[in-house]
Amino acid sequence: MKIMKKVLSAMLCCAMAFTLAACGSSDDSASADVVVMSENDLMSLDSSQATDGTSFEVIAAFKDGLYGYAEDGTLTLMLAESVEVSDDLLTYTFTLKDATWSNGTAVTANDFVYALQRCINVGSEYAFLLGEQGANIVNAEAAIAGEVDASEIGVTAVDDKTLVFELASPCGFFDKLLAFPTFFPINEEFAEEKGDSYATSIDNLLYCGAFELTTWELNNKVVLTKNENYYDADVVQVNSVTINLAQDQSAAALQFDSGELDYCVISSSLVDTYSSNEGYSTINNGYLWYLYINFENELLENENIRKGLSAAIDRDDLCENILKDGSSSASGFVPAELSTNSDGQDFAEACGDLLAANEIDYDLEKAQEYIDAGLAELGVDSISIDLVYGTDEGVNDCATYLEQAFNALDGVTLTLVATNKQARINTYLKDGDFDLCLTRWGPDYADATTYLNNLETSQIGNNNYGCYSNSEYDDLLAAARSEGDAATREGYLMEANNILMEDVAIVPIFEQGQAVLQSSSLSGLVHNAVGTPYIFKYVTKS
Amino acid sequence: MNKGMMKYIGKRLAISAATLFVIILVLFLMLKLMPGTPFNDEKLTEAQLAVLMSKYGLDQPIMVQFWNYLRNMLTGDFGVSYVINKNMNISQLVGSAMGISFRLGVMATILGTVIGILLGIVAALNKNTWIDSVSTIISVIGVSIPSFVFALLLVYLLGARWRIFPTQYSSSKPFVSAIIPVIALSMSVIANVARFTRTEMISVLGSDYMILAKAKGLDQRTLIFKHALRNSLIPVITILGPIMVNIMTGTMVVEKICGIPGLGKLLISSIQQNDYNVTLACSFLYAVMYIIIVLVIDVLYGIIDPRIRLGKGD
Amino acid sequence: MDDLKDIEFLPDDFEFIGNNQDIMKDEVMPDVPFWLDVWRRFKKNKGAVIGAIVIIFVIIMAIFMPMLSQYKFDAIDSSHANMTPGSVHWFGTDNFGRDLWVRTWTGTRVSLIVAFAAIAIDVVVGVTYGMISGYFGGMVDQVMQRIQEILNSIPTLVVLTLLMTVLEASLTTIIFALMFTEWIGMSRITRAQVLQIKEEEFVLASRTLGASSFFIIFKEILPNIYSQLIVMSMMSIPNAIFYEAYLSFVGLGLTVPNASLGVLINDGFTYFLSYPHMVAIPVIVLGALMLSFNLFGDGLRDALDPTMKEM
Repeated sequence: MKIMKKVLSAMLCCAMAFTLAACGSSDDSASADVVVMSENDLMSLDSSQATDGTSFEVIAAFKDGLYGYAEDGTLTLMLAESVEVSDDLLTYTFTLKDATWSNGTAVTANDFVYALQRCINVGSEYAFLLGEQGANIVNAEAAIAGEVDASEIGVTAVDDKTLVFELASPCGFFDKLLAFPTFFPINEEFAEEKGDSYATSIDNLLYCGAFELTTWELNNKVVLTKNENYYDADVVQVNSVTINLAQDQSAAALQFDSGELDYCVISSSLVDTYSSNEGYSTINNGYLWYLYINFENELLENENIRKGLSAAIDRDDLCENILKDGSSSASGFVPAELSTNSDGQDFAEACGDLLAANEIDYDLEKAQEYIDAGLAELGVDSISIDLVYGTDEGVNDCATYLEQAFNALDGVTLTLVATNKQARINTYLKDGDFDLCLTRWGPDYADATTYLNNLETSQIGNNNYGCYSNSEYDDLLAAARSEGDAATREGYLMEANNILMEDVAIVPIFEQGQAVLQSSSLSGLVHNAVGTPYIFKYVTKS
Repeated sequence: MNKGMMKYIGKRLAISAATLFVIILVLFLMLKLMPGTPFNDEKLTEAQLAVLMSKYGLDQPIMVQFWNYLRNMLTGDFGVSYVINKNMNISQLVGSAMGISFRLGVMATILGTVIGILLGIVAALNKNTWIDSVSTIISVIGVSIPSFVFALLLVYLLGARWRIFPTQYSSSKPFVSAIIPVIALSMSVIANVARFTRTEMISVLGSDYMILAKAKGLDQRTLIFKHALRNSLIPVITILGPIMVNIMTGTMVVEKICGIPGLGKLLISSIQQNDYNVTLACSFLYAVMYIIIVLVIDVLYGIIDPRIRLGKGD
Repeated sequence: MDDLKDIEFLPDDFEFIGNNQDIMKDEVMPDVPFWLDVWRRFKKNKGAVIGAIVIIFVIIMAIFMPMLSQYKFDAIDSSHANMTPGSVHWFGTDNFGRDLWVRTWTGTRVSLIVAFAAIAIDVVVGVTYGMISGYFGGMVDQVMQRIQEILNSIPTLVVLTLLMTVLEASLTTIIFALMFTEWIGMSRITRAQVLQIKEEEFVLASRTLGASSFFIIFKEILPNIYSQLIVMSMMSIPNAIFYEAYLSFVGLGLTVPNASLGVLINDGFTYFLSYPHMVAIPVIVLGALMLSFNLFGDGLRDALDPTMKEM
């Protein structure tokens, strides 16, 4: 009996403790606190190792780079006071502003040098941005391959305030790269002291940006509080920005309704309900979804078959009636709003609708003709192909749609192979064990080459999983790489982009959009389709 | 506690330890044999992958890795996460998730047990009346319908339609936002406890000593609360084990519906991200909790009622 | 004892409870076949009968509705997307414009197939395992029991989740994964029964007459436990249905274009704010099925063996 009593009283105590704890922690919110949601979890606070958008936007809030984004979304110098570029466009000399880390030490040129070397040493996913695929810093490619030590790369601190980058070839988008968190500074002394635990909690981290990270509840939320010691502190108008992590979109929408949330993204399932809301809008989130085609497969080596598949997809129907989240049909391998040509025109827009130009846009009759021609050339009655996609990548709707679209063609049997993202890449793509693979590419920097480089012959065994190879295409990219004149370079790239659609090297499907709800009291939130998704520095709340 | 009891507990502990070892081994091998690596960014080159693999010691032979893992584990070091909150200590990551799951589980067990007992008593005292029937229907529904169905229903009605409670868990409102998942999880507890209490209560009420007590002229209140209730509640402890296990698995689905950053949600996302260490630690923890619950309940029951002890295997 | 003097019996203290003299009367019951007897007892249990009716109804719907409807379960028609239940689409349509009436019953069919197949395999595996373990005893039993104990100490959902990450999701692998976890209960019951029965005289007699172990197990012991197995299976089916739904719900189960109740719940869940019917319908069918199987199993248990205690 006694035991029972004790157990019961213990249980009651526990219950009461919870109740009390619950009462104690309810916070009284001040007026200028902004709450936004992220559908994903925060994966890493280490600027040299982060790879996802949520991590980037948090890092960019508490840390600045040499370049950053102004209130209107254009690039501007942040930690750098001034920059000098040599005539051959190969040497960049930055002079730094007076800025301090949250432990009181100054932000020095060495912090940048250390961050980039560290990026190579820890095997960061984004180390390639330093190499030929990105900035092409002297020796970076060799250092990534492990041939020379990371300290050999062409980034040097002349003194505390002077930082010099030496590039192996001109890079037209170097300023855009420098705004990418991978290029942000890390205090060497602090990071070395913390070792493996660096950036794994708010205490193991230094801040030099508009905000400081004051709370990080795993898989739940982060709170960014205004950094009073920030060199540009006057610009920051809010007390704090709270990001609810890994939040369900339906729940977020309900919270938005009740005013608990100032900004949230919503899934297409909610668009019908919220599209009339005054805070509703859609944004472009930069990703292009497309199908890799395996050129090792003799059925798909046939150009008519590839054309037929492309022409069978009603991209507008998919985007407008199924996805409904502001996604738009793709018209080539380079999505819209990625980069602007020297004449001020959007690159993708300048290329035009390459699907229509090459007669591979939606037309079911034409698609059937292509397929029939292809089958005749192959000498078979029917073909059966599979399509690999990841169920955790949010494209189940698209895969379902494609399955129906392809199976509607006479003589084509399409089987969906559902897997997850990691297996899709590591098992299917890397081993070449696929016919078609639904995949996406997010731009790393605002230039068409972030897409086009992937399909070079030299990328076979790397990102060119379909083993597409066209020497004419390779030559154009090589020419563009060594071309100093912007307009001529863009001409090469546009031609290259057209070749991909002529050959149907990949089948573009849609450019991913995102439906969002933003409260009318919130303004100044900068959104980028490339790199850091959101910049919180300029937000205001009335 | 007598010698036999000690021996029994010792034997159970030894078996549990051996079981846990085998579980780790099997889990470890299973996860290692899975295709792919935790580093699954499209943009990673082979050279960088090799750097990462050697950094985390993933390039060593499996048995060496296992040995290292086991050795570290005994010192409480479960390694670091490869993907989710990269490089974070697993104990920290899993600890925070488990705290939340555990708290919800305990809350649901307490709520469910209290309501279940009350319902059971009321049903037993009003045996074969409409009250009894209602209680039986509640029990049958609670036992056979999974908790996530209740969670969906509550989220829709209380959360979305009437907007009484938040649909999603939030750490800033840990109590209010836990109401929906706790109610959903406690449904099966209520049902099981009520059913069990009712049966026990009826059999106690009909027992000889109760007739004696009645004959002595004790009033109804003393009769029920002092004599009947006490004796019918002891056996309820036996079903607390299965109930807590049930809740543990129930949380895995309810966590997804209510957005609770608990162990189940962590397990699922670690699997999707191929984050071996986290998957391993989560599954292992589930097994440990399961074994502990079963063990504690068995021992507790052995202490309370020595007649039913020292089982025939299970 | 002095108190007793104060007690005075009044006529009201007693009440007439009837003349029960005849309760001792012997009656020869007519000889009824076992199954008829079971049926009679089963009929008395209202809940079980309702459960059985619902199960039969759902099975019939699941078999015939997809055949009879003019719609195909995976046919996309984006012009009819997101319709609420009405006369054209009885259960409405999903975001692809797929008819939910057909999808619900196709999904139910898949869930039922998974459940029945998994349980059938469970019975075979569990019974074989339990019989071998119980009949041979000794070391064999020890080893087999430890293996079973280990498997049993990982929660089912964790085992399932891990298995499905290693296996590629398909109907067969889900059945395989379910089989992996549910047989333990069967094997326990079998073993316990075997341990009890193998000491009985009729088994001894059979052995004396030279029967082989194999013969004894299958001809003497098996027939004695089948009613328990049937009940156990009926009770396991709702579990299997739930587990399948769970796997699909967390995204480890069946994939496009297949449908099961879990897949439908998962699809519908994202739409629960805009179109609650998309998740409500499969949830109701799932709940009704699980409830009915439980009621039916309960009734069956009481009917097959009125003395059998709750398992």
